[in-house]
Amino acid sequence: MDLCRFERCCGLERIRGGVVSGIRRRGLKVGLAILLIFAAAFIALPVASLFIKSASGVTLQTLRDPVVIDALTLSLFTATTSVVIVIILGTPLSYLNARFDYPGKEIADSLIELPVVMPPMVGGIALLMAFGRMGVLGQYLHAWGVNIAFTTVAVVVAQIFVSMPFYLRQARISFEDVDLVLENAARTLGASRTQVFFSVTLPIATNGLISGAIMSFARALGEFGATIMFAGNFQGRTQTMPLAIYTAMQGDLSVSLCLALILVAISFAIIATVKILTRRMYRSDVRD
Amino acid sequence: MLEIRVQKRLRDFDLDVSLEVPEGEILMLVGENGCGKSTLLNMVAGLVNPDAGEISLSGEPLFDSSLRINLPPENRKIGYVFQNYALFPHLTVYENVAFGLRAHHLPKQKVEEKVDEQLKAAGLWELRDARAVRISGGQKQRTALARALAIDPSLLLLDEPLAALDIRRQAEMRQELGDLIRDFGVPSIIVTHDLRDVVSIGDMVSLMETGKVIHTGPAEEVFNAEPLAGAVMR
Repeated sequence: MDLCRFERCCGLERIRGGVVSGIRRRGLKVGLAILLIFAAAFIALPVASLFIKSASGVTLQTLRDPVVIDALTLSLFTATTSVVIVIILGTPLSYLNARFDYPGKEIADSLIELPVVMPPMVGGIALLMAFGRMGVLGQYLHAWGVNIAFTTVAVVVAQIFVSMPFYLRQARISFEDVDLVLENAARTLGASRTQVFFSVTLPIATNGLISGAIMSFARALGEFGATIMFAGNFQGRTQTMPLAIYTAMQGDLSVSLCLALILVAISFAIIATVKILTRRMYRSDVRD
Repeated sequence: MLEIRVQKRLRDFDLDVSLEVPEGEILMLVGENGCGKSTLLNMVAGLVNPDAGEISLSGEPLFDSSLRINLPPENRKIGYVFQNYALFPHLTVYENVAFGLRAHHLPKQKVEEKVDEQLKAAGLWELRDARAVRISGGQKQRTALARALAIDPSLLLLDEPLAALDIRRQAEMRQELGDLIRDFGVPSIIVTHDLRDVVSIGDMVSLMETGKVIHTGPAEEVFNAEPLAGAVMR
């Protein structure tokens, strides 16, 4: 009797099959765990290294360095201004895109997404060609004595350009998620279109809008390419944190590290806030 | 009296309906899914525009294509209970019922009085501070009805008001709903699929088929009229 027949007779084949599939499953688990550890380490190691290397060089003194203070102040001011403008302009635009059809909507949608895929440097040159002193619109503005390029306004314009799509996309999804029947119910109860927007649509979409605004703020804060091309790199005027990190790298590394740590801390806070908001959104969806 | 005579081209068929609902009567609207019942309610409420026709309530036109009259939904004073109730998920039971009164800019004290009255009548007083998404199906139904009645509507529209409840709750609520609407005394249209709703709540029943009313008669005749019984039973 050959071995295979013997195993089949005794039912050993099934046991051996079970053992083999068990080993395979365990192997798969181990493989996935290794992959996960590598992926986590790939992100965690550079971040941890920032802290390790900063430990010796960064002191409270570095935090008081004028380069750090100027960059931090400018970055927070410009990113906040950008996000406020993005919210004011982007909220009605997103609502329009979520609720109404109009000629050229497809083209408008593609244009809105363009800055996300366009390299920031290209965005910077494009802004310069539009609003620079010799630019398509800039030459007329210049004639009126208005110069945008290489000023703090240019920093804000560059940040709006790159960060607006993040808000527009999220805001549109949030508005689309608000059930149209709720808006209809509000209207039959006597609310005008404006009342419906402010008392039903906006409150229900709020978590999504905040999450979009935070992502947009993060993108504005990290903006480098378009800013350096369109606004230049002048301390206190256009040198935001990413630009200051890049500049300080050529001189005082501790300033670079200090700014990098601040940006990492802000990024962590942003991720945590977005996660909490998304979870709350999900929970309210489940409750519905 | 509610008078409806409307036409509208829909994707699959033409809707062409003439109906009258006298003051204080309840018309049960039955028909298969997609025959245009909800579209008709939405036209009366002003949420969907007919292509042509007239809709008038107590002689006042709500819509008139020849006179180019089309009152927006917020000016029609219609109490509409939507399928699945459409309660505002971000508001409490109290705020849901107060919504219409606040939208009409009633003074705060008046709003409080009316909401309290509705909540107590509907047995929702204990739940006034609960978020509308956290209450049971029956409580949602009562909140939606209280919200619709709070604005003192001149007409009631209810789209399958009992369908979202379980069978046992349906039986309890059927009687309650019928009494409440009858006491209110305004013309009402109730869309339903259930024969029991027709007999125990309605005065009249109309059967719709692909956009047309093919039969109208007293609700109790529902058992005798062949097309009706067949359609409702289905």
